[in-house]
Amino acid sequence: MIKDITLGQYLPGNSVIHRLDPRTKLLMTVSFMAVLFVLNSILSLLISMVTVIICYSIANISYKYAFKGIKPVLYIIIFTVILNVFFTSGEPLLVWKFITISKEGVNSAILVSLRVLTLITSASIMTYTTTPIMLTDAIEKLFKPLKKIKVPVHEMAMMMTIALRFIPTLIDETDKIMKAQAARGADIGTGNLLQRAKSFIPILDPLFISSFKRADDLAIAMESRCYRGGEGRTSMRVLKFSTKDLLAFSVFILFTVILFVLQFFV
Amino acid sequence: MNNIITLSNVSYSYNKGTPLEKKALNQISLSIGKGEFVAIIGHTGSGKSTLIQHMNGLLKPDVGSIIIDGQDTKTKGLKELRKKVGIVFQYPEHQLFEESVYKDIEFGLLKHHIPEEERKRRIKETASILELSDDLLEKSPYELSGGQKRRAAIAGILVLQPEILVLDEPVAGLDPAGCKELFNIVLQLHRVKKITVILVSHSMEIVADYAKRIIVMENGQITMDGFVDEIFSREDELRAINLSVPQITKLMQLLNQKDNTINSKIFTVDKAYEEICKKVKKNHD
Amino acid sequence: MKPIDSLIKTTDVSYVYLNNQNPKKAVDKISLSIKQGEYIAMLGRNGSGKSTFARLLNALLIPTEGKVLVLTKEATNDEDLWFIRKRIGMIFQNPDNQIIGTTVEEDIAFGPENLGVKTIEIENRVTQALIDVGILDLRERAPHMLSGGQKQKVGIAAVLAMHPMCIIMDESTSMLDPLGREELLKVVRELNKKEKITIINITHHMEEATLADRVIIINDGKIVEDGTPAEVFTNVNKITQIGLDVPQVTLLLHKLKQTGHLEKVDAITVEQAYERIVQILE
Repeated sequence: MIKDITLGQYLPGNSVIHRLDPRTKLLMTVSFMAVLFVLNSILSLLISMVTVIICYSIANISYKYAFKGIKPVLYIIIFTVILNVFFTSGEPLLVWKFITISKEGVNSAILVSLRVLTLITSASIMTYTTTPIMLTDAIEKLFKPLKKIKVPVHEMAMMMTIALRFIPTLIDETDKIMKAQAARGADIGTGNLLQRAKSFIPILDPLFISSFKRADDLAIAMESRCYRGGEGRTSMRVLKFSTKDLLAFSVFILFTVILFVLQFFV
Repeated sequence: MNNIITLSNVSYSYNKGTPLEKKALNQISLSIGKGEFVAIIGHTGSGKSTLIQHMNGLLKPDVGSIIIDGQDTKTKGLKELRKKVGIVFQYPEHQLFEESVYKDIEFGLLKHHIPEEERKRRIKETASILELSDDLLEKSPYELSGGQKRRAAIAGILVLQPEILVLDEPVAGLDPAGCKELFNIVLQLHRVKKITVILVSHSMEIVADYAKRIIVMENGQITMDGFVDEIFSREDELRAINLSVPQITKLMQLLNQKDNTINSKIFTVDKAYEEICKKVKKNHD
Repeated sequence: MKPIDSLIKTTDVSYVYLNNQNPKKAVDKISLSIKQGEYIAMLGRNGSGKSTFARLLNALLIPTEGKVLVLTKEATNDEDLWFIRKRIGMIFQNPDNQIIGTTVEEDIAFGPENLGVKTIEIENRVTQALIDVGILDLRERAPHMLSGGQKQKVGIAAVLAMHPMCIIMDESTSMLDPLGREELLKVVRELNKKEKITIINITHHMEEATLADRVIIINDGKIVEDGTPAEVFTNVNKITQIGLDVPQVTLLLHKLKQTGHLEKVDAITVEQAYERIVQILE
């Protein structure tokens, strides 16, 4: 049943990309995404796309996984392509009965789909090569300055860690409760919309209760292991920028400059 | 004896078609007669849980067939089947959700469209069997003690009047007194209502005290199947798969080595006591 | 380290739960002294107060009345509270609900991180704890991929990394299968013997209690028995009245004594019982 959902995007490996500091990866991914939105030429976007594909080879991740990331948004891409192709006015390229396809339409369809594909594949490469916990660490460290204005950075990171830890446990538990209720004759997810919504109560209710119990247990376990917030806490993992990261950043900046040069001068 | 459960050549795998594929049941054939009290033993991961989930169609075999009281679990009408086969999973209290114990017990009855008068009658009867007072029935399930919660959850299954009752580690987490209470109820149902009972348990003492037949599972297969005395006399084979025999049996085996007229096929304290008294008397004469 | 005579000392400790309408006295004037290096089983029925008592010992709960002293310190201020929790480690019933890290290694590091141990030292402590418990191969595993027994071993390692003097197991074996239980008990027995760590195993499994050096039975919030397993379990009438079990062989001897075949009940293991019965058969 629900157990078939695969979780955990991380694919273990030992490539240069895997070994980069998670902060580097996070910063680069976020800025790359911003750049993608600004880029407006097919050539630049095409080069970006190819570069991302090269990164997949460097990280030793099969293209199958790249496609896996795209799959959920495939329909959205197709839909936007259709919208753009048929409903953008401009210089007619093809006219058939009442349908007109314009040159501008084709152009913007290609732009949009390239942009979305590159966006998603580049974000996936970060999650494929970085464990969720490393990402959490990176976020905690990057946002540390916000502590000064009383943003509970440590607490938020701890919450993320715990959520990551308990997702598989809760999936398991949902499966168990579903089976137990089915054994009593519950039909889950059948009937009209209202009946279907109602049929989930016997699953969600016990799940909530047990989650509260788990939270309670966990709080006690944490306290008994001397947890008292982020104050005075050390960490086993220390993030360190290395020459690799410096190099990656330099390449990235150079690359971005080239993209813009291409966009404006070619 | 009529067979109420017949499995022929059943195989089942988890995560089919992925690298994580794991064969949980491997060509199992098994018949259980009406009114039997069978125990299934085997260590964690041997396939016991997968097996019992096949008995009410929660899981369906990849290969082979399962016939429950004449009905194939692959055909339609699973709901009827689930009324016939009551499965009490481990820690059944985790399934309680209604605002009162009464309503929670009623849940299955409503799902099976049992009329109100009949519902009332059955809940009253089931509650009295499980020693749940009227007072408790009005409470929220979350206010009950551990043992009471367990009994309330079991009531939710028993109220459907199953012909087959499957219990997966029903006393896990209960103390010895609570454990005895619960098993006496199960034994009563088995004797008076002739319910077929299938018990999954790790405790050899419990198995010896209550079951008549034992099925031993290992690596998704049935490796032994026989009466209690037959299985427990194969201690070496059991030990090889990390199972044991009751403590009292170990004692009787030791005594048998010293004096081979002492019966070593003894699994309960009462029987051991009788055997030793008999022996003492004989030695006196 | 020089053995300290009294690791934990309680005097007339009581605890009352006030959160519902009718206050319940869970622990009722318990006085007890636990030496360093002891291996104790604490037995009692569900709701007997044994878990509440355990939580008083590492200052997760503060007594309503009476005193709990750990190495002569009482949890009256924050500093002493952390002093106590660092020394008295605890693992719990549900193995899933006490693992905080998303990998085994991270979970074990959690305690030392809270104590502010230096980074390099944390690594060493984690490795040592993994070795001591015998799960070095599980270091990078995700918790949900482990068996119940393995999870509880992670729990023990996580406490060990804080360098405790005592480990309390609060029904930590109750959700394990016999094999997982046996392995966990073997690990704590080793720690008790080699590292002289005090073990308090709270359970309602009589088999586990027979492995301890000292058995304490709690009923209705009071200590009703305190002695060696042989002393406690041969008291068959009293134990069964409370609603607990005695070993099968002890029960057999008890029956034989009732019908005059034996003079006294003094065996809790198969071997001991064998000797007694051979005697009466001759």
